[in-house]
Amino acid sequence: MTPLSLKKIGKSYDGRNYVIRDLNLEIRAGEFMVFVGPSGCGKTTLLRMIAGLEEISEGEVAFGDSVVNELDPGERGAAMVFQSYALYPHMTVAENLGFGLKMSGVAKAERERAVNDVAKVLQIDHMLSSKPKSLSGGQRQRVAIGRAIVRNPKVFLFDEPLSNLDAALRVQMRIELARLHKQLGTTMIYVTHDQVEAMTLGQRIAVFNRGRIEQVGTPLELYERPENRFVAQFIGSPKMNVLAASGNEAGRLKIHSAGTIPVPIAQPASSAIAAIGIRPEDVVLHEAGTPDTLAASVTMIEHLGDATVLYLEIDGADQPVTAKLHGSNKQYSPGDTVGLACVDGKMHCFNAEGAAIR
Amino acid sequence: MYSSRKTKRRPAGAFTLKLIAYGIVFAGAVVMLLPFYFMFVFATHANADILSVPPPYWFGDHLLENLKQLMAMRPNFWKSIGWSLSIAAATTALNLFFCALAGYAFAMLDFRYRETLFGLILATLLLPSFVSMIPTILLMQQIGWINSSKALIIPGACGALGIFMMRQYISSVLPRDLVDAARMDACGEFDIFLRVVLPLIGPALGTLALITFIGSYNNFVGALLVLRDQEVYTLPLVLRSLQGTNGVTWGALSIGAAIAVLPLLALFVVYSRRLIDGLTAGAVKG
Amino acid sequence: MQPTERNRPRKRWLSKKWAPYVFVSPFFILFAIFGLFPLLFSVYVSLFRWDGVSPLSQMKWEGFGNYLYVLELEGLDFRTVFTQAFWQDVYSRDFWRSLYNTLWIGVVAGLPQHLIAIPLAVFIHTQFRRARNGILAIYFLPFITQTVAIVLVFQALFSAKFGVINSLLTGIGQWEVAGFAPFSLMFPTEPVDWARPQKTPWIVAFVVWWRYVGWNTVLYLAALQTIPKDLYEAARVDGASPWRQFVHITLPQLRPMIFFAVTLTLIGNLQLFEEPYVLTAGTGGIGQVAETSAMYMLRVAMTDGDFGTASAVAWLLFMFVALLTWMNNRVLKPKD
Repeated sequence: MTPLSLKKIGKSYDGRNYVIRDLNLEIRAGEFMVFVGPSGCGKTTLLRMIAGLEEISEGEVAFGDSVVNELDPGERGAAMVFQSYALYPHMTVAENLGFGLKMSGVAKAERERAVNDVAKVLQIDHMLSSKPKSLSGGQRQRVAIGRAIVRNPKVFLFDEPLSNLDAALRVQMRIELARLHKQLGTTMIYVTHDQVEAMTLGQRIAVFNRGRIEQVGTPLELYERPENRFVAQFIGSPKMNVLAASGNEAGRLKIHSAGTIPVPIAQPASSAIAAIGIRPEDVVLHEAGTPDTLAASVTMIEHLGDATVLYLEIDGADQPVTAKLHGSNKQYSPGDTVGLACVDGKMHCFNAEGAAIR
Repeated sequence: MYSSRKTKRRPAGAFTLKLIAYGIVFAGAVVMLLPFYFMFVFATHANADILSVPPPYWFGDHLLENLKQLMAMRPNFWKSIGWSLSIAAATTALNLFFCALAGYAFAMLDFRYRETLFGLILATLLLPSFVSMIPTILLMQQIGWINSSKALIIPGACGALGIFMMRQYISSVLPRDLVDAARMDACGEFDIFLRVVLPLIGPALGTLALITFIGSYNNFVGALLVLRDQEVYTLPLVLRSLQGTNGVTWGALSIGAAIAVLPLLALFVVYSRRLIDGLTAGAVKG
Repeated sequence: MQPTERNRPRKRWLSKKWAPYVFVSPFFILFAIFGLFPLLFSVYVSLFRWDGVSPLSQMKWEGFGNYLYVLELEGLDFRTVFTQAFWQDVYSRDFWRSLYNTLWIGVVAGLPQHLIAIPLAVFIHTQFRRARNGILAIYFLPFITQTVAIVLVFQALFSAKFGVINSLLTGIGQWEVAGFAPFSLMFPTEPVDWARPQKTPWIVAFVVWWRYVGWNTVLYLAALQTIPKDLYEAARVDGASPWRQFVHITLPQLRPMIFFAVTLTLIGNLQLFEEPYVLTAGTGGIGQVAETSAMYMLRVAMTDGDFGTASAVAWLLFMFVALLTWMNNRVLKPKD
């Protein structure tokens, strides 16, 4: 089990514009770490720098206590599973699995034994002599993972490996990956833009935005205590409602022209509140005109079966507010006016820069 | 397209027009094929028959005699075929290797000045070939490659068109991830080319091989410039030498021409579609 | 944890950084030796009198003398430029005659290539389904055939006395239906003497046309396949006739390819060598009526042993090709 340490990492293609700048991250031995963020945020670039596929412009990447900056990808002891699987189409499954060992100079007998062992673990031993073309998406995925396992790497790198699978298979593979991690105990880094995948797989998650890490933490930490608006809105689905707050007077916040609510946190931090955030699942709807609620009207309703998603318009706000209600103690219809509030203690507050205040 | 108006009733003249058009296309096809037909017809007739009026329109029985006469006139005929074929084979092999290598680099690898260098390669395609005729003779004389097959093989060992074709093909079929996967699998840069890229670009290699082989096998001007001795003549030069100012032995010449054309004819019958597609693919995209 | 060791990479003979340059280097090495260097050298040689074989020290400085010698402008009476005599005088000068021959053959062989290839391609594209590949292959066959071999056959076919072409043409010309010969106006009734020098350029032009019309057809066909079908569907909904569809959709859509194909023809025909060389047995025909510029250049070098002048011809020709290509770009290039 190998920890990873990334120190002051910078990446620039032209020496002026940085894709990643001054990034620090410690990944613990045996940890399942997920990099998540919108496309173009630098998460894949960072993964490729760890793999050795991209040059490291600045800083140091260390596996355990050895700096690997100068090493070729094949020498670092990292294995990677690609989004497109990247299986060699002209080789059989067995050859695909054994290619890395062959290129590293492992003897044939030993190679075959390793390939067979891995094939058995992944239940692909019956298709060792087929070509990738004849396999299904899930099977290819398994071969791609097998190719990584067989080299017994210090670190597994996954680059959005599930995004080419259909929804049902994706859930199944997610479970298998989690089990695989438990079984092998190897350090794994997993890149995805899908926050559901991130939340379900990651022991810790690093949320990327514009070449920086916004926050690192366990899934629950990110969900319950986001450090800024970006993380707050990126994690959770539907995404968190953020409403501008003004007129912090006499312990009350004015939310657009929809009404006022009591300041949810203690002074003196509360004086900096510029916006509040309420997760859709924390929205509570009361009768219109109830004190300490915001005047809102229902514009659209989506029934998901287990839950109902309401889109509400509140006076003065240009974005609709989303509410996710479980159970159906009351039926709403478009045009209904309600009083909108938040579950006690679940409201998030942000200052003008977007940082969370508690 | 135009023809999908079938359901509508056609004006009476349309059918006649269509028939005339078909007639013209087939007449054109006949014009394209007639020289070949008469080449084979003449190859089977004695010179006297060919010179008679009217000339023969159907095959005769003088094939073997013509062949014997050809061998008597040009004892090195078979050798020149072998010579032409081997020069074409060598040129093709070198082109496949070097063009695929360069095409791979331009398609898949990131390096400084990549676009500039590729632009330069394309720009050399615009140089008219006659500009280099005189300089080539001079150079070959200076380095002593006159009468050597090297003078035909080496300068054309890595064609610009081949590089272009390979780059187009590789960037359209090879995912970059595959190259990265090979890097993760401890493959060196050249090993990636040899073990991962080459096995996957077979179709493009086949097309390039056809184009290069045909070009080299048919190369007359290049050979004319550097081959001076009868013993090292390639096939086109041997055929050309049969053409005297008077008293041409047409029968022998025709069988020679027929034998020269046959290998490519056979190749073309099998691979015409692929060759035509390969040659036009670059033109359509570019 | 503090990183302690700094790994040294395994030594590879080809680093990732240098590999691309090594991979693309063969072309540049070969081009430098066999392309660029000889080209530059020929610029240098064009300024000297030199036979190509004697040592470089024997070269005699000529300056632009070779160029002036090739252009042969002295003695031309430019005041009579609008008279026939003036142009006959120009035609009697080797370089200008070869240029004229090149242009004449280029146009007479080149123009019909495109005028026939475009409708032919459209017709094959719209009318043929199964026979299409076969038809195309037949038209394409001349393009891949060894020029020398097939041109020698053409020489026999064009023979005046026994030539197949004469037999066929007069056969059609003399064909009579009830005492009336319908084709006698279009086709000859007497054998044509193809050996007369006036006919030689026509023969060359025909053979060149024959070799390349299929190539152009294939190019246009490839371009036709890229025209979106819904353009035609929309036109049909608007009630456009096939002819109007051709004029208003097909031709404009083909324009980039017309530019490309015409450019190829232009560059190719201006360096025409093989067909006229073999058809005239290397002589250029009686009175050099079919001697193209490339042939003239080679004659100066190989027969006259004057490599300085031959190099000058090459560069004059190059400038001429560049000029025509530039004009072609101005006229035909699609503007975006």
